Amino acid sequence: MKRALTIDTSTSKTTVGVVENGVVIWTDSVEGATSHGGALGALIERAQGLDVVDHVIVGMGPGPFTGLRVGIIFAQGFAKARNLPWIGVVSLDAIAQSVELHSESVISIDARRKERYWARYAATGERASEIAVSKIDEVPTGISDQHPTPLGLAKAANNPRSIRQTPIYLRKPDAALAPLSGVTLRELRFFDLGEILGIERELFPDPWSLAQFKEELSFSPRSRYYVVAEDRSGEVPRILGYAGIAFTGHGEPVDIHTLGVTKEHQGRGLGQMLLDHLIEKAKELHGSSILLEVRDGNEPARALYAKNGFTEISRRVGYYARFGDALVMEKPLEYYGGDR
Amino acid sequence: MSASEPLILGIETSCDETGIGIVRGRTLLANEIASSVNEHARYGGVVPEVAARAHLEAFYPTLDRALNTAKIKLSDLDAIAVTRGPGLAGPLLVGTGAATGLASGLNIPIYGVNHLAAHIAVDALEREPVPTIALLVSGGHSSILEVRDINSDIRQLGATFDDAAGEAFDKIARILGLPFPGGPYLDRLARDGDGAAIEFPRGMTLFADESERSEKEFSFSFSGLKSAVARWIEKHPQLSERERANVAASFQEAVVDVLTMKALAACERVGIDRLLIAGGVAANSRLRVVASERAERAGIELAIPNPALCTDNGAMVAALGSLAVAAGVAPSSLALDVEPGLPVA
Repeated sequence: MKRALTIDTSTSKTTVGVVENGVVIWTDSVEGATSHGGALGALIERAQGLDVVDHVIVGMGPGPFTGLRVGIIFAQGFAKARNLPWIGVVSLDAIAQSVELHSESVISIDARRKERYWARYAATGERASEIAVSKIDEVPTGISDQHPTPLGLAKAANNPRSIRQTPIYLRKPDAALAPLSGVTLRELRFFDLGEILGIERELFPDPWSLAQFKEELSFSPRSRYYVVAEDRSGEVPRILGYAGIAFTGHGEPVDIHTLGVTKEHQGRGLGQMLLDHLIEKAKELHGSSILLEVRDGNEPARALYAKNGFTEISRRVGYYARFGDALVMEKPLEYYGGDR
Repeated sequence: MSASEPLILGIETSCDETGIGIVRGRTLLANEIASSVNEHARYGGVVPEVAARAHLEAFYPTLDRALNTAKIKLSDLDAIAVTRGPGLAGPLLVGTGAATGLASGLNIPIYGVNHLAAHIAVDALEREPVPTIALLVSGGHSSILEVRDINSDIRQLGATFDDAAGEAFDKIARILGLPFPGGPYLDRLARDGDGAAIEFPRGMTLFADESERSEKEFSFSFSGLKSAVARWIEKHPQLSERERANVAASFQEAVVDVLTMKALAACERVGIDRLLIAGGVAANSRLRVVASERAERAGIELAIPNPALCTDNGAMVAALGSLAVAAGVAPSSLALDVEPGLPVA
């Protein structure tokens, strides 16, 4: 494949380009977050060198949904009309290929609603984390508000890790974000394990087995405490999340062994609800601090813990077997010593 | 059908139906629809972001189905017509995005058309287009229009002051505990009931003086009716199945009575002895019966499209595009933008 038509509408800028063998033949862009609809057609009308385009590259986000979709469906339509292949790429990856990185960097773009889409990149431009959406003040400082260039999109299209077939929304439609009412916490019971194993497999690349959960519960209540967040608003109660700690004695650290919320219900405060509860429990147990391991790359979880006063104290290389390093995070607790 | 007539693709994404239609001249070749209505049922109404995501997923598979049904290739097309409003912005933008992408790839003209005019234009696939009074009734719109020429001469005689007729159907259906979208369920329930059992009010049918008449004669209001039905149900908390059916039938009778009465009065006032009923509510069985009885008595020719062409669909957009091409209307620019509040006239 030689000549690409590139389209990106994931940021406030609509950019169209024609790229051949790493050289930009034509490009133009239009500012304005809400005008992707008309802007794209206007740019295409002016574009040069479209006759011999042999593939189409389009940014799949993350980005504000409405504009993002216009770019994707336009690119697919153009490709379909000409019977050409189209390649969708992660727009943040294309930004990483559009700017000069001198060291490991965080790249972020506006996600509206006081949030930003972001990911961490190695100096080579290779993505080193999952793509996340977080509150503005929880996003590490870095390169912000850049746009994917035609060349950046073309470079990203050469990296299999950057290619996506479906739009990257990261957020549920607003309507699904209705506040969760009727969710209560209760202690985890043995017969919850079937339901929990399903969630465990959905969430973690290295899920615990039934035997591991059973072993954990066998130490309860002596040295383990596990809770579930259960939705009781429907006819049948449904478990949406769970968490557990291990503890030894007064003045000793408390270890968070697991914390998870179903993908469908993430971003609605359940993780915070579970974490608040565990922190309270750890204080009741007179723990000196709370420790946990989080997979490097699990940015939403890292952001949650950082917001709650956890700091990174070390890294366990290869902790998650095939899935990379663990970061050890710690939150000190006020410890009064003795019986109280 | 002649091969020399233009082959038009129609794209409709203004609400929750992804509609793709293909016509040659005024002959329907394909009318494929993917609906996200089941996803919206969870929320009790159409959620724009849910609809827009579903449009993006469903669009090209639906287009492929339409091309197969019509037995044509994209490269055979002469023009693309797409709904640019009125409707929900996010969903509309998926349709115009696809239309402009396809049109620029194919180097063919694009026509951004009006969703409401398309509901009327669909009749041209079944009958010769002639000047008509149109009663347009759907989940989002209720109006009476004088249509002399679909491309250039549409005048609105009246519209709803509050709820659209279909919206009133959906809301009352919800109060009666029927699933979303309520219109078809209410229609079915009403068949077991007596439409004369309860006397519900007919909105905008009484005028204090002549100045009020001119403003309201061909307009609708369904909010008073809606409250009356809701109050009646509150007062009768233990409804038997029979009573529920009576409420549905009596409510439906009140809506149908006002719609047909005003539409036929408009025919008489304007001097056009033809009435076209279009839009999703035109699929209502009681509206069809009452309208045909009354139109016959008044000596007015009644046209109601096939139910599959009444609800939102791509064929109606293709039909309007085809009529525009035939009339020599100038195509839209590729920089076509959507207009969520686009008026019909």
